[in-house]
Amino acid sequence: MVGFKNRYMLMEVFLDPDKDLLGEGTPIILTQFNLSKAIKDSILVNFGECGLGSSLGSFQVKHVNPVTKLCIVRSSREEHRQVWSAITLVKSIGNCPVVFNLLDNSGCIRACKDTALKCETEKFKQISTKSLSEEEIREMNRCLDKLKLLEN
Amino acid sequence: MGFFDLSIPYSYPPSSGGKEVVVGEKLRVKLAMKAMELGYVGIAHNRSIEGAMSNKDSCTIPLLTLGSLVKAAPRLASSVGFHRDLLGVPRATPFRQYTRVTVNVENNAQCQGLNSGNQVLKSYDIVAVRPMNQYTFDHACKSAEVDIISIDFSKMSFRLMHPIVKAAIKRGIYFEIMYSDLLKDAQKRRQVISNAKLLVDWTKGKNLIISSGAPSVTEVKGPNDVINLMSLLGLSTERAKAAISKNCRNMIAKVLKKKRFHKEAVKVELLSSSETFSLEQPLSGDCMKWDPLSSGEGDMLLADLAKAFDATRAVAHKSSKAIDFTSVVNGLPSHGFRVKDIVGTEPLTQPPAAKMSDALVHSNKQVPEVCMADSASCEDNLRKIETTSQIKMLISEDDNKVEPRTITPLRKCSTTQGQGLLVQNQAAASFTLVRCTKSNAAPDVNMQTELVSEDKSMSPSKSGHGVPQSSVENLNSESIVVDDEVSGIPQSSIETIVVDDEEVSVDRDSKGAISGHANIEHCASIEGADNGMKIDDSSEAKHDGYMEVTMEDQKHETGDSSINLHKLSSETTDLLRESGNSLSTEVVEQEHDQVSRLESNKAEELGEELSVQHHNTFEIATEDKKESEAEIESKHQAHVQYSERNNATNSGKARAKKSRVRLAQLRLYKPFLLQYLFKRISKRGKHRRA
Repeated sequence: MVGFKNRYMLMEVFLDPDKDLLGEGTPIILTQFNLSKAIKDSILVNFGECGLGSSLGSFQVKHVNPVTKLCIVRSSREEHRQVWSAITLVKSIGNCPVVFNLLDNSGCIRACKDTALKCETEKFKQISTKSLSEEEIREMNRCLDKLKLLEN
Repeated sequence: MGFFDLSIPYSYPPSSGGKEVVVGEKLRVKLAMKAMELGYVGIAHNRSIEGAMSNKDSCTIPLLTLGSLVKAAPRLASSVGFHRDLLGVPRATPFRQYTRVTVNVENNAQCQGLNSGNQVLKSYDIVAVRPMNQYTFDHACKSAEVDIISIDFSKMSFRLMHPIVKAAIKRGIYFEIMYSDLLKDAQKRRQVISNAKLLVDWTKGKNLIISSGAPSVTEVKGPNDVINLMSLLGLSTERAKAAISKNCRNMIAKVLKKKRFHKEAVKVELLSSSETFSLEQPLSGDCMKWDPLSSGEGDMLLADLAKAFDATRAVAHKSSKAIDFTSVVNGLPSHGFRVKDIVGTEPLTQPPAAKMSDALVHSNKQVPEVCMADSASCEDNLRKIETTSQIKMLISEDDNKVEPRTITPLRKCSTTQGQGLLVQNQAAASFTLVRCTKSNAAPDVNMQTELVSEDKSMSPSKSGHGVPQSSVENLNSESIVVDDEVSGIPQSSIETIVVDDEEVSVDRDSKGAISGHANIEHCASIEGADNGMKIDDSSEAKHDGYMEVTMEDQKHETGDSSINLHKLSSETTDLLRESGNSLSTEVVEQEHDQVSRLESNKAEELGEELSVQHHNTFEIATEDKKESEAEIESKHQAHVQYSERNNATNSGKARAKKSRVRLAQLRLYKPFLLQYLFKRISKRGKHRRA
């Protein structure tokens, strides 16, 4: 038994949904850094310093795929609903309006990884209807490899 | 369970006296697409009106067509499928659209417009009201003919009051929380949370609907996120989920039923003249496939979307005309059809209605199965009855006071039980019953204390098909609790419980029925007079009332039981007398006589009410011990007394006195006893109160 438990939330990000509905264009590039910054800001605004402090312990953006725009956010189990709410309330990253949507919520990284892989392929299929550049495909493969190696 | 978003804005009320602001078609399509993509299965286009209603306010909302979505079709279809899979919503669920009007009411006159005869409101699927002040809110909750009360939590100009909210819930009106207010800015969020918390608290998630009310695509959130967001308002996950899915569904079904059906039950549809039908030939399946959620025009299937896209590609230029969804639908007689049936795509889904009927059938099937199982178990039990009776004998033999005669009747019982299931049950039940009365009779002899103690000593409670479940060691002696399952009888289970011995209870079925007879049973079993009694019982098996008595749910239906007990006890007391005369040896012969006699004399036997009361009191007293005494105290003062008595005597001191209760004595005192006892009880009651 593990004393401390985490929750892994697999989220998808819609960038600027008002403009291009299904995320065709990429106004900004998602990175672990700008994601976690946006989320932390939101936690701070909505739950205050205490909320941020208590959730910061295990909060981490584990994985970001800028191509399919999936990310995995880790949070302690106690705080995960708070963090999740804060993520829902994120309105923009930088200047770009965003909408987060939870795809999966699981208690261990392995389960989350499996779902993430499934979702990645699914999403990739969806966006591959339009032609992808070499760059993006390479990026995608890199992300998938990273995802496979993901641990805790 | 699909998720719904019942307020996609179609128009806003004019901000400063101008024309109403209609949301652009493009944005509406985007919003609908977003909702669809996120996994919602239904949306309502919401038109907000203000001021006096006129005919031009009646529904003109054009529902979105497949044609408008076709541009993004392939990706949309795959994305919707993807999200639906993750949410556990079947892919084939049609995407439904409804029309909704939200009336902003400010004064009395506008309130009066919200009645059932309003043709403007009737043209919409869903009618919502947005009260602007206290008066209108009260009116909306108490008497307005609306489906939803939508409260603007960000600028509330009135107070929610519990009784009014309750009244609205009672009338089946739903409250709506729009979460777009939550997302706007920190200031509004604060107000919304503080105001909506109250409502959530009072409604407890019942009659609550969560919708987006999103002015832009950014404010449409996925169902999961919405559910989680509601935790900020103090709504638990399950309730939030119900609020976004089940409640919406129920509301829509109700509303459509009200709107499309005569008296919510009868629907008249046009049949084409070519269709002939006769009485022998049932109507075509379409009538049975009614979909409670379908608003008619607005349903879209994913498959249709994909098809439409394929068609556009094939015909290239005529894109939106390739499959004009609306035209197809408009050519059809009425709302009741599903698009799928008409378009003739492959049978993707079973319509919900059909599913429901399936489920019904299923559940129906289960019942007989259960019965079968029961009967099977009964048969099993049949064999066991012999053993139980034997066990009884053993126990009784263990008890010093048991005479040989007690044993013979027991055997008798078992043999009679062998004859048939039903008879068996009843016989057994009556058996127990008689025993109860027996015990009652004993106190008549003024030997109450002894009796009670005796009760403790032995308690083979038995009825129906006895499965010896557990033998319990008590202070004084053993008691066997036999748990029965009676198949042939309406209530499926009898639970006998040994009460006198503190708290030996066997729960077989969750029904929680504790038959009081069991309690009293034990008492009786000890007496020498048993023999005659038991036989009587078996003979009485034909009375219907028995099973009811035995199976009555003591916890709840003490009142009902009294009536049955009444009859039974009176009968049994009569029998008692007779049995007093006839001693154990001739039991067999008497049995038949008694049967005949009993049936003929039923009517006269009812006379003795005293004994009945006594019976009641006893039973309830035992019950008291087990559970809550308070409950029953109000009913009969005497019961309490008895229970106390029982408790007092439970110490077991009186065991030695058992032998005193004999038939001879019983017979002697019979004429006086009942009255005497009654008096005594009432006296005690008075005394205690004082």
